[in-house]
Amino acid sequence: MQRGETMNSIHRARGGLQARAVTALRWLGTQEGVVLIINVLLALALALASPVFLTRDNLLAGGVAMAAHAITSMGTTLVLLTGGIDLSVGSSFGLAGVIMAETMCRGVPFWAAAALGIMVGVIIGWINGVVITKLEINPFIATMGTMTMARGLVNVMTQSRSIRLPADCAYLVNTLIFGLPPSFVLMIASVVVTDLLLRYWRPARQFFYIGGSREHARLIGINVDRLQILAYVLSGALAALSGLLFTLRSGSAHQQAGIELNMKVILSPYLGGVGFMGGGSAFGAFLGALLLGLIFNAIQLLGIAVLWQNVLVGVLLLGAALVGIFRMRREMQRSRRERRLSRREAAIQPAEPGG
Amino acid sequence: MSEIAQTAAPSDSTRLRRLYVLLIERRDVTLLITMLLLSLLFSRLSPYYLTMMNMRTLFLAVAFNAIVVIGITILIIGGYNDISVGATYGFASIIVAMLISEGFPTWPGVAIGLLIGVGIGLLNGILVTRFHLPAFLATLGTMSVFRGLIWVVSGAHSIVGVPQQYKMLGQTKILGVQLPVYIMLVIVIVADFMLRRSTFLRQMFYIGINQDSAEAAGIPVARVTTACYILSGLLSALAGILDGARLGAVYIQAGLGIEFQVITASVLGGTALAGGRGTVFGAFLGVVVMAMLTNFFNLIGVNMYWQAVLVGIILVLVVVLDRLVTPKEVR
Repeated sequence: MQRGETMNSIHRARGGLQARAVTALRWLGTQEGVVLIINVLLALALALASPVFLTRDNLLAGGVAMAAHAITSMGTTLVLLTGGIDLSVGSSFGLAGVIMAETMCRGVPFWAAAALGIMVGVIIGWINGVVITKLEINPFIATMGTMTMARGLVNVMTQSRSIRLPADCAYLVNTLIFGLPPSFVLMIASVVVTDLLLRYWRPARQFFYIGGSREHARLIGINVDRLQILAYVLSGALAALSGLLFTLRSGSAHQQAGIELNMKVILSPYLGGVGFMGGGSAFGAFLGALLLGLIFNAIQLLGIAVLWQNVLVGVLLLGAALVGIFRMRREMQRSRRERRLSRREAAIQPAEPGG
Repeated sequence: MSEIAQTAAPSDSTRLRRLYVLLIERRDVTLLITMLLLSLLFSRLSPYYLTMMNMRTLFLAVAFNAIVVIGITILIIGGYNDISVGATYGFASIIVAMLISEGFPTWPGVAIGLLIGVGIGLLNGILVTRFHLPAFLATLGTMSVFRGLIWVVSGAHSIVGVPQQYKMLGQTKILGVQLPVYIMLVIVIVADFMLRRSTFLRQMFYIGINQDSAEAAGIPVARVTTACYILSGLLSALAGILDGARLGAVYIQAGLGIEFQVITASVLGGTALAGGRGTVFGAFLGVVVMAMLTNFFNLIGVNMYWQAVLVGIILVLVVVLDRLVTPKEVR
């Protein structure tokens, strides 16, 4: 083999089936691949353990239940990719629903109310973005502040009651798009759109650079501030969207809506390989959300006490974090080893033109 | 500001600037003044403010948060964070309440509660030092686990009605002021002294400024960090246990939201979120000022929900102002 060549690159250069198989196998070794395998295994185990699992009703219901944190996770993924964090998504979720319910009860037509709800998310996201970029406040503290404020507004507006939506809204949730509930469809749509955006839309790709190193991104000429604000706005908007869907589905806006969302929405991308240091993909985040959805479905089907949910989420978070750290360590060790090897090779073979 | 360039006697503007820097640096002084001004204002606005009963309520409200804020301030100084304090507070509280209600003797029960705090702190410490998890993530996980365990362990029932001996811990009054207040005062004074003088704790400042340099300088970062997490867990558990004793009951929501309140109070008191700066006294004053505001709002009948909104606004304002107002010299 020539210098710099490995079996992998030879395969890749040759192209064809072998190369693609190798790349696919390598992908399975990444975080996303592992989560996909775990998902498949878990689904198989569930199908065996419970006759109800593979029924259409259960799958649709599970999908709809998952939609809330899956859609919001797309937004959080964007924020995480830029190296930030958004703790206010749960409150945007709740507040959007409340605003929509309140305005609809005052006779505002559905589309306007929904638009208002999304605006709420956009505004909260914009506040987050501006405070974090222009005022250089720690994202953790800033989003914690907006979270408390928005949650407070939710409390004020609901006064611990639920706000019922006018009864004629029921048709909205029951309309099936392609034979699937709207939450389901929107979930798939948001995952696909986010993933495509991250792959092909230049500003979205710049998120990765910002996550890697803000200073370097700025030096390259990326408008870091504007893009980060965009990330937070999108995060807020998506949280609001799933809040609206949830409110429509349950027929009323609760005060408690969105409170456990925060944990799930940080956990999903993390499980799927989106690290705090930036890096990852929307599809990975979706796989993480799917894993969570499967686990919660399992808890329901197998009759494990619902009380254990939070504990489980915490344990998973820690587990995922630990695994992430181990992978990072292994990566560092591997790159160190490769560097040592290439240095040794360089010592043995002086560089020749043409390799 | 080069000293060499200033050969003339300091002008008024320089003196003013130095005063400004002093006030910002010595956040405790500023807060103390704020506190006094607020007291004056509130006593004018409401005839009930300066009553003995109101003051007692105020001190009591301060006591629990003040105990917790000490632990978290030290961690923030080191560049870490601990959002599991609320969960530790609630978990220790409910375990102790459950044990003592079932007939377990009081003091061993309290000891177990404190041990739980130590255990959770140790877990956090190990996750952060040994496994190199980011502090936020590690404590988020621990918070979730133990918050959830509160539900599991209690079967979603709050514990109402604890034995008299346990209640005594929280409700005994000396000179008309409850015991937890005295406990808090002692802890605050000792902690402030320790943070200023004890070599061990002062190392946290170095760790906060630059962890790698601290390590290179020979500071046992892992040991100091773990010790501080244990301290934080211990203090949170203590606060929770005292709260349960004082109330005579432990609700499932015990300690919910405390983590945000104490972080706000700490930042208000001059603790830099990036680490390397902060005092226990300042954090204590932060807790006092926040408690004064809440107390006043309760007194004049502000809706409980609007209070939460206000706290959120105050949090953001405080942090923003802190950022804007800190002159380059101190930053």
